[in-house]
Amino acid sequence: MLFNSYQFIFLFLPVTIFVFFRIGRLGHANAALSWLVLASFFFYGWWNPVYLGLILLSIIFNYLFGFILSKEITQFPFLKKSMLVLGVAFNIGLIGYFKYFNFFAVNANAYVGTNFSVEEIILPLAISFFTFQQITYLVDAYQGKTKEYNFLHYCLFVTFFPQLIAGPIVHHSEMLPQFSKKHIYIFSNRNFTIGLTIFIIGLFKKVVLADNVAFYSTPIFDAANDGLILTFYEAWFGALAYTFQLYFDFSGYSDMAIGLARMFGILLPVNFHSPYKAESIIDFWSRWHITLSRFLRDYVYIPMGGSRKGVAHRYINLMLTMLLGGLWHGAGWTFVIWGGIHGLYLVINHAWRVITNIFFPHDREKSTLNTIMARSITFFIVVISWVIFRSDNIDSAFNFLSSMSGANGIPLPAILKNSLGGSNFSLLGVNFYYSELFNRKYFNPNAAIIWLLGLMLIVNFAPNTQQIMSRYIPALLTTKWKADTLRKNWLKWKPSNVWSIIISFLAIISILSLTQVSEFLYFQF
Amino acid sequence: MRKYFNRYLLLLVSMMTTFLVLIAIFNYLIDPYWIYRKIEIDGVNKVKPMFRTHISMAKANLVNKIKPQGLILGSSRSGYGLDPEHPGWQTSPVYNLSLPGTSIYELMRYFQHATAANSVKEIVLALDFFMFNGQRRYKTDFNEKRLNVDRNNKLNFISNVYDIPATLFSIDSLMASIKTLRSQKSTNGYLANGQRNWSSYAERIKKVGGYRNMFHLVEKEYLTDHWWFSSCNRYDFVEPQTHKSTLRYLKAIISAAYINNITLHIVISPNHARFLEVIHAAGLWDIYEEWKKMLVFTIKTEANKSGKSEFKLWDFSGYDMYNSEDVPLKNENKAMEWFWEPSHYKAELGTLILNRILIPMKNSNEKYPNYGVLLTSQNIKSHLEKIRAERLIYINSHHDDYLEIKNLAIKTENWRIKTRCQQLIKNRINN
Repeated sequence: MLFNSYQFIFLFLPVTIFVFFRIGRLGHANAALSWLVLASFFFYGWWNPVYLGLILLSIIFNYLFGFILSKEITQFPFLKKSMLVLGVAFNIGLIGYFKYFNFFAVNANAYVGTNFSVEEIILPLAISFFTFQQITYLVDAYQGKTKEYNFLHYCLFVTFFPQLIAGPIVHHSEMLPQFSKKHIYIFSNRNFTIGLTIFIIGLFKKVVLADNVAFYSTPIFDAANDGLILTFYEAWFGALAYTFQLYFDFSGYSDMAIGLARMFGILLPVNFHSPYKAESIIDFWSRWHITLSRFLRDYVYIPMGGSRKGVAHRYINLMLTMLLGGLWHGAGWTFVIWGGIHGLYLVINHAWRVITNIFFPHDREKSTLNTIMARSITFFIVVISWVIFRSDNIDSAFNFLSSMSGANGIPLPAILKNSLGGSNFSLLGVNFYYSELFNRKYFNPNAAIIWLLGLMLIVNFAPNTQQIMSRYIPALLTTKWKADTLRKNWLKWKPSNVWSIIISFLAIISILSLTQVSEFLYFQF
Repeated sequence: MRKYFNRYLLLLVSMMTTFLVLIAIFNYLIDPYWIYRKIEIDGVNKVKPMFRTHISMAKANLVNKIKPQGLILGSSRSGYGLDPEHPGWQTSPVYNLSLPGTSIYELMRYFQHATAANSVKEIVLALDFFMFNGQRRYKTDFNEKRLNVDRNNKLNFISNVYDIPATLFSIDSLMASIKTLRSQKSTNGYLANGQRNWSSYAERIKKVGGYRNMFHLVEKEYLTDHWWFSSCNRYDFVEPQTHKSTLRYLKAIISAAYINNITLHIVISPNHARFLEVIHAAGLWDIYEEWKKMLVFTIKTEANKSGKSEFKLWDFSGYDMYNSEDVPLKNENKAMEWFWEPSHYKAELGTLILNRILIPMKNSNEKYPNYGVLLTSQNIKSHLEKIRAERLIYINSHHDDYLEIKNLAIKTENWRIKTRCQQLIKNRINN
């Protein structure tokens, strides 16, 4: 079930909330939690009931292993370590089979000459999320960082529907203690209102902003994947549109998750903090998909040695972590390359910091120009990386990027023809020619410009959801961004009539945008 | 503090409910897609400009409302040309369920949709060459979920309500309603019986500067798009995803017609002689002939399988006095009698077609001799040879038309290779 569907908003959510607090008010905490677990299983099974068994198996297995690992069996360190290795191997094996087997098989068949049979394996929803969350649990149980938890709480930690299918990737140490608090079983007007408001903001970001700007990215990427050559402008419009689409889609979804959890009095960690305001790629990764960065840092980068073994090692670890992070997003070379270039970006960024610290140790003041430059360069290289991320294969990514670079020429509007001398010309190796700016009529370019400009303003100047909701501690992990507190108080949400009207309009527009009436564009005949 | 939260929530919920309900009522009454048909008021919502841009949705819903016993199924060619109220129909009501730019798969699905819920008795199935291109993509507004049955004829329980949320509670519908209110001075693109309202076509032809210009536009469109679509792969019956031929959808229609006792009149739509020249210049002549052979073969095999007599297959696409009509010269202010452009024939020609196929031979034969050929496995070979011979006669007597198309084909081919396709497809243009 998707958050942005009628079934979810008008049936699943009201029923789940009502029954939960009904049971909770009678004082049956465990019954209420069981209801929430059941509802979450239903939420998951709606998509494909077959995989309910898989997630259940994964939960039981990990809980048992975690249970044993957290017991005092330190007199047998070898046994304990083997248990951990087995447990992690089980999780990796599961995700490896469902997510990566075909990718591995196709490539092994092609390059090593093996003969694995490649059959279609349907990727179980959310497997990347629930496997990772449980690996952290096993590792921490092994290191003695976890207390003993009850099974019901553990089940809810994995399946709690707001975060189940697309994160934020929660950590057991921040979730499980919350389930033991008594106040979450009593319906709170305050939590519900705050949660609903965050949910509506997220819904608006997803169904209005992301889904609308997708009209300008999807046809372009489809055309590139079909092997068509894009013009310079088509490629740039498509790349920018996708950059915004992905952000509003994913951060909108995270907001919705945070809002939904809040309706139950549960705080989830913040996942996005205005990533396109980042002034360096290091900064970017502390703002984009924050809970994934946190996981990769704590459970991949640091265990590999982090920065403790010297500069060279540090850079290698960084590269490997990002390559894995890339692969986590999907089984394909484009994702690996995407991770790789982000690894490279990060290495360059770290090296640059070292160098500038040597030459300008005291120069900490940043001018406005400095900030604009830094933000623009960061944004630019992120856009480049999204093109690779979104392309079906490396060839189409390459073609797309060459169109963006001007290698396929840059068309000029015919009206300039007379004033510029009248014939095609070449400047710095780029061919300029007079032609249609947009080869096919993918969309109305004027509407595209308005959307892209509008979203560009939003990502650069608008406050983000946490900032707007900052009076009411909307999420965990927000303390890091204390410095970003809004200076203007009127921008901060409070339960006032004005805010109610604003949010209800966002809600109305979002609900009216849940479905579209698709149009047949070739209608002249 | 609790008080503020209560008030905030109350205001939020009441605002949302009020606005959403009002919008839904507004959309229901204005009915921009013409599917609820509750109230029609002159000057308010009588003209439905959004109907023609949402044909797949609107016609799918309308079929369930009108419950026709006779159907016309085909592309925009039969949409313009064939009249559901022709006196030859043995059943009523008849609805023109033609969908513009459709494919044989979509036709099969609309056939299944219409026959599942209604007792359809007679269908004119008007086929076009382009429908069978496996490279073809389905129309953007085609959606399986609104059809009464799935492709295996299993009932779809939500088909009747599927379009309700989108047509009542969406920004698109709201905009469509507003647009409807504002364009009451224009005319409807479709008649109530599903036939395309052709009266606007003359206007369009005037706008582009006459018949010959209109011919050029359409010919160019076919040479650049319709037989290739966005990929550079040329026409092929085989679908790239399934590696199967699109002929199987025609088979499914025929065998279902036998099972449900539906009379099918299968028609190859007429086209102007210049259109055949476009096919030739695009290098598709062989595959075009192959297509006709396969139609004959498919109809015969399905008849044998069911043990019943063959459905009639009429070919109106060959050379005759109608489709060889001269195209007015550039700037010549003259209208054509039978064609709008090479691919769309006029309703007058449609009447002749229906005369021929719906009315028993002897009545119609005298006035319009020899229009259309009944294709069988016996005459298909000689029929194709005859067309080939007649083509030579045509291009010799219409040398300018021939050259015009030839040059257009070369130009579009170069353009496609340069701008669209990375792999060169050679030898496409025959000499």
